[in-house]
Amino acid sequence: MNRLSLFGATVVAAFVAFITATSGPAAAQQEFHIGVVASVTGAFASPTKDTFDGFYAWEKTRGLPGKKIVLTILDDETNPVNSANAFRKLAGDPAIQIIIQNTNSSSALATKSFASEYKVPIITGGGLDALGVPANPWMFKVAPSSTDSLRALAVYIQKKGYKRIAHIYGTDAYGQNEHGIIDGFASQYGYTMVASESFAIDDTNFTAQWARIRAAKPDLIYSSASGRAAILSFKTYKQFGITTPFAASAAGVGAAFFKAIGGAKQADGMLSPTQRGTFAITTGPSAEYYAALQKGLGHPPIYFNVFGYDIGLILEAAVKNSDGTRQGLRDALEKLKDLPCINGPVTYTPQNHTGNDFRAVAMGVLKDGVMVPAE
Amino acid sequence: MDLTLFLQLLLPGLTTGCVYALVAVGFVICANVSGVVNLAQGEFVMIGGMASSWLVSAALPLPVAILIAMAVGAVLGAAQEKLTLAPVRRAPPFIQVTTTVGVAIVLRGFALVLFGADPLSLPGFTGDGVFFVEGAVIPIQSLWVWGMTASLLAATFGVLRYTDIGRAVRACSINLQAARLMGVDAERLRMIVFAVSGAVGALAGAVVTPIVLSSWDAGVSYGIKGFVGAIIGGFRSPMLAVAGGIGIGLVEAFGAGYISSGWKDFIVYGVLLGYLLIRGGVFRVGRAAFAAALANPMH
Repeated sequence: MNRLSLFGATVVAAFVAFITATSGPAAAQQEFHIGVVASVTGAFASPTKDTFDGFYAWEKTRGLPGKKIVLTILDDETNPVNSANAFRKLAGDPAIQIIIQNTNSSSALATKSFASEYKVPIITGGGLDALGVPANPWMFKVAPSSTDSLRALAVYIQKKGYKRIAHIYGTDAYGQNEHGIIDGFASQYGYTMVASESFAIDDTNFTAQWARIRAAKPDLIYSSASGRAAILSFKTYKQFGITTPFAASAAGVGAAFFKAIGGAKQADGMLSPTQRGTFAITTGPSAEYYAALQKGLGHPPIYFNVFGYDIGLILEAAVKNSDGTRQGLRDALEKLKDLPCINGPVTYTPQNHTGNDFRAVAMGVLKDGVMVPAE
Repeated sequence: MDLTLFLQLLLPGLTTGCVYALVAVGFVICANVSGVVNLAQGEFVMIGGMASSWLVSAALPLPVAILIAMAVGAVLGAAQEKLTLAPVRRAPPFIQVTTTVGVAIVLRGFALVLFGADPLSLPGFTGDGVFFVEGAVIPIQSLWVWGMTASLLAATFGVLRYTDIGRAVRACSINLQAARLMGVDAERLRMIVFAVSGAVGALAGAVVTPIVLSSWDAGVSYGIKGFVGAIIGGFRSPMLAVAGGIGIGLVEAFGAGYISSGWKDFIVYGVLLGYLLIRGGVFRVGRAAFAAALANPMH
């Protein structure tokens, strides 16, 4: 090999070494890998889409500075068994730094018992209390607990002087949990459950339930339905011409719901214990985020959009205060205290991973198709 | 008895029962000509509902949308027979039934990709209003469901009884080999029956969608309840299958209304189990064994 060739080979080798030593690891650092278990299909598909829209709005308007977000999304078809399998697959991938569960409570709960095995931090959807307390060290909830949401409803019932309450709910974990809570609050807030009607989430005929509710003559009806059941249940309520105040779980009031009933104005007067982020926020630390979310979406946010954006804000804080490892992200999440989010401040402690609390919840009512604070 | 509550349970129960009845008849007739329990039957109802809703949302007139949905159901039914069942005709029965499960899953996936995950709705054919019967509130669309079911069932029984094709179907159900020897073209007949069954299922889906919406996973529920109706019909008698399907709808409604909504499915499947036990002669056998035990206490 002559001297020139040797020099050339040395230059090429040095260049390759430089590229390998700098751009390779640098590129790896630039990417932030998030695994997402999502109910892209099935009964919870509509809220899931709304949540994704909110998350993408956060990514568009804020994102992780200096990092490229790489999402690996697996569909659980709104099925807890599929959800557990999808979680295992994502958690087993060492490239995944954190997992987001964009699913309903039942699917999220299916992974709680073994969430610690993989030592990967999880930001989970779902309102079920059991997701946040007792705290699994690796699972962090975003939605306020069902207890906090239903406490807002119970306080409203008490203020209005309602005494006879009817509840219609699904036989899944979410519905059963909500029923246990609203039933449990009865003596504390001075009302009686005069009708408790349940349905399977794939039911198509709700007339028997509504006939029994109508016959019970309640002062207020609360529905814990979501997805298609929420639409059909609400349509039956309207067809029956019932004028009793109707409150619905925010889990059932999404874009698909409004589209199917002919627009949000069709549900004017409907109450909902909802998160404060559902209302147009113009003051306080949440106002800037709310405006950014609205800008990112291109329309006023609805309930699950806000969830998606808040997941982004929580993720952003965790990444900022950690070294980006699974353990580092988990520790950073658990140290979050009163982190300003759209729905309200988020706090985690080693004993409580609920995140939002009662401060994040208020009763809303639909007025001219827009959710506003109820009187 | 509260007449209003009774009617409020009876009439909507009849509406859902009508759809179960049409699915049940599809099960029975397809089983009679092919010897296969077609577990994709409920998916044609879903396809009809989804396709017609989607086409109406694309600004097609409702009658045109329904006709196209029926044509899609017919083509898919015929394709199911020709492409998936004919090739496994000589395979063991469980292979053939499993093939129909595969078709059901494929149709669900097809609907999900094409129509999306959200439930779709259709406007009522003559408005979204309701009418009252002794205080019971009934959607006007229910009249369409009842009328369409009665018309389709009358047409089905008329064809089965008075036409050559109907006689051929009945002949196949009695003895397939003998029917072939008498000149019945069983292959062609299967194609026709599966196509008609697909079209009828799609029509049922389109007519019931204004009341119950439609989603890509709705076929499972219709399929299971229609299957129960067909079992009650012994997979031989379309008339009994109709009674079974309507009966399931009514038992669901009355069970939820008079006993508890939480017990609804328990009641439906409890009734099915009891029916099967009685038809299977379990109680008779049990009684005989009991009598024998009494007669020979030392045994």
